[in-house]
Amino acid sequence: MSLVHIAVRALVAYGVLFVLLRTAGKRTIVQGTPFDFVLALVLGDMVDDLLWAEVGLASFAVAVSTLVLLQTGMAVAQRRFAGLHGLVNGRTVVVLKDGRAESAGLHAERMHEKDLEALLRLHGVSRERWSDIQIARLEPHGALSVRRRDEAQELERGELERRI
Amino acid sequence: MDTPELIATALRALLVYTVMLVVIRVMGKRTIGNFSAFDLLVALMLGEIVDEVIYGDVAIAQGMVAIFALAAVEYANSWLSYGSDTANRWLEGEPTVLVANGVLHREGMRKERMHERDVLMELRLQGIEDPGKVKRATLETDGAVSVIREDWAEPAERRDLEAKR
Repeated sequence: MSLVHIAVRALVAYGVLFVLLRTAGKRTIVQGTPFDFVLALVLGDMVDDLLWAEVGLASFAVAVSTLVLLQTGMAVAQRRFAGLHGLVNGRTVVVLKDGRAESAGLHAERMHEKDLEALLRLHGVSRERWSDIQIARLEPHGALSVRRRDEAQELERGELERRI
Repeated sequence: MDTPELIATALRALLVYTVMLVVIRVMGKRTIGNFSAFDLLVALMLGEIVDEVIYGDVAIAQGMVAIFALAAVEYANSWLSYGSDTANRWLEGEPTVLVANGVLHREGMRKERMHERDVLMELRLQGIEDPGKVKRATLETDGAVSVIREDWAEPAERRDLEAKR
């Protein structure tokens, strides 16, 4: 196998994936959801078989197009049917309410309180200040969203000026 | 490459897409959501397995067995670390304190083989130039660094305005 062929196939693979993802749109592979992440890995893995000529260009093109098409179709379907969105992405789970851990939500996600502590620390909230939190939710892609109680919200300049 | 074979490739891609969707969904947010280094490896393994299935290099049955075996171990792992504190410590490790009360915590840094530069960089990424402002910085089990500011270094809150009145 000539070295030039490898370079050419690498170029072609790059081109095919680039065009596919550009036409499919920004949200095709949104970084952050577990499934999108694995899908991106799979698309990358499909390339090496092409490089070593273990599969033909046609197989590669069909395989990656099918995956991207499915992903795009799925996004369209989720916009149309609200129920499907929850089914595919999972639901938002409340893990902390009015300063107290919600054990049902934690159990559903196989999380300990110490996992919640760590997640909140990453939001800059120490255990002593849990009482400042009105609600914290574990969102479908696995990130924690935190809403503080009104009086513990950051004081924005605009508000400061209004109230002085 | 003849047309029936290409159609078969498309169908295998469809099958793999569906199976991955189900598997990843069932594994839950925690499994791949808050990535630990190991979860990342599992995701990589999963990705490596399925491309062979799509191309038809391995039989579908074999591919499915591999995917489900991997998913089952990952699933069991998450329940085990949930169910037992000892298992949890072993499987996930413990957080390490890097800065305590404004002072770099050398012991923690040595344990995680982190240089002063690394710690200061992590603080900068969170907008903090002076470690003196940090009440506690912790290297969490997923490799991220959490930063709790000293009370006086926290942004002002609405109630602070009330208190000043």
